[in-house]
Amino acid sequence: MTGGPQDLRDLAAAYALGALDPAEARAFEAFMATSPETAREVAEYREVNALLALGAGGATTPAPELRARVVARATATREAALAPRAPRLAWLALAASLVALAGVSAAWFSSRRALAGATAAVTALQDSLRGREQQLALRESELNAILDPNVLLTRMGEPGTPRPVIQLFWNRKSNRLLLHAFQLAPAGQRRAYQLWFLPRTGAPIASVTFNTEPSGHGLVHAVPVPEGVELTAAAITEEPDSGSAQPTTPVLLVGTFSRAES
Amino acid sequence: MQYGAALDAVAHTATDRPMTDRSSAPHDIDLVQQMARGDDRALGLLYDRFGVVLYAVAFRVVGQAADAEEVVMEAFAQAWREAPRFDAARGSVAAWLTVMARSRALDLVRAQSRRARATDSAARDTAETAPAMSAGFPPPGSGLEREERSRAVSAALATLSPPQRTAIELAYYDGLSQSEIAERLQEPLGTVKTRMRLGMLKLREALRPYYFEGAV
Repeated sequence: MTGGPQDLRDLAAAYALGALDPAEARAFEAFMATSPETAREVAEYREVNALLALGAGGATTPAPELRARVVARATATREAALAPRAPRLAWLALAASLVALAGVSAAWFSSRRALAGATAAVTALQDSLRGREQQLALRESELNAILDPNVLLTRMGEPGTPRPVIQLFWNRKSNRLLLHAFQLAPAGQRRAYQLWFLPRTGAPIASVTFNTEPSGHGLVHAVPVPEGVELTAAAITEEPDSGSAQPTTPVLLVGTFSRAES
Repeated sequence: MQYGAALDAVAHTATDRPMTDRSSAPHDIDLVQQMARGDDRALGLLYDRFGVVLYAVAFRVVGQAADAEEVVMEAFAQAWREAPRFDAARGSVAAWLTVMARSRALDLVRAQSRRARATDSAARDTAETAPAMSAGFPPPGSGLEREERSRAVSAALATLSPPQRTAIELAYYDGLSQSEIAERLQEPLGTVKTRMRLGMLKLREALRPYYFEGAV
C-alpha cells in the first residue's frame, strides 16, 4: 500500500501507463490534485508513452484508404450530432423538466447533482438508442439481402461434416452476395479467410478476405461477383490477412453453384 | 556494450531538438483548433502526421489489421468530438492522441475477452506475433522526423534491462496493472513496481529531447 508523498510520487510512471489498481489510482489522483509537480511528471510520462508508440514498429501499414475512412467516420459523427432528433429531444425536454421541477424545492447543490445525473442518463440513453438504430438498420439490410427474390443460396461446407458452414446469398440482380459464416474458428494471427470464385476454365478468382468473431460467426456484405465468366463453385482458404492473388493453402470449404446459378 | 553506445547516441543529440521537415506547416495545436471548428481537412492532416504511429500501437495491442483500423477510426473520431476541450497545458497533441488510441485498443481487447492473449510478452515467439517494442524500425512511411525519433526510442529501449522492459511492455501493450504483472511473472509486487519506475525514469531521461511538439 502507498505511504507518504514520495511513495505516491513514485507511482507517477505507473499511473501514466494505466498500471495502478483502482484504489491506488484514486489515492494517486487525490495526491496529484495537490501536487502540480506530480501532475507535470505524469504529463511528461505521457509524452514518453507517445514516443513509445514509435517503438511499436511492425511490418504492417494501414491501408491507404484508412485516411478517408477516418475522416468519413468523424464527419458522420458530426452529421449525426446535427441531425434532427425529435424523439430524443422530447426525452431531453422531459428529463430537463423533471429536473427543473425537482430543483424548485431542492437546494442548489442537490439540483446541480440531479441535473448532472439526468444529463448523464439522457446521454447514455441517446448512445444506446443510436447503437440500436445502427444495429437495426444493419439487420434490415441483411434481411433484405437474404429475402430478395433474386437471391440464390449456396451452402459451403466440408463433405461429411455438419460444421463449419458458410452460406452465400447471391443476388443475381445486383450481382453481389452476402457471406454468412458460422462455427468457423477465427483465423490465426495475421491470417484471414479468403473467398475464391472458381470459373469453369482458368485460375481461381480472388475475392474478399474476412475473419470470424470468437463465437465463430462472420458476415460480409455486398461482395462483388465476377461478371462475364461462368462460375462453377466458390471456395475458402486461409491466407495472410492482406489476401493472396492465388490460393496458398488447401481449400477449407467449397460450395458448388448449380448450372442455373452460374 | 549496447547500454554505453545508446547513451552516447542520446548524449550526442541531447542538446538539440529533433530536426523538423515541416517548419512552415501548421502546428499540431492549430490543427486541433481547426478541427474543433469542424474543419475535416485539419483532421486529415493530423492523420497524416500520427495515423501510422497510432496504427502501429493499435495493431500491436489488438493483433489484427481490421481491429487496428477500427481502433484508429475510433480514436480519431474521439479526437474530433473532444477537440474543443483539448487542453495544451496538459501535454502535446501526440500524447493526447496516443492515450486515446491505446485506451480504445485495450478496450477492444477487453471487450472481446481476449485477455488470454496477453501472455508473457518476453516469451512470445516473435515470428508468429506482432513485433515487440523497437522491432521493425523504422515504421513504414515515416518521415525524417519520425525516423529520428524512432532511432532514439530504439536506443533508449536498448538501455533497459529485460525485466524492466517486460514490465513496461505488459502495462503498455497488454493493459496489465502492476499487481497483474507481478502475478503473471510470479514476482514480488515491489520488484515489479521498482522495475517499472526505474525503466520509465530511464526512458524519460533519454527521450526528453525528442518529445513531440507542444510537450509540457
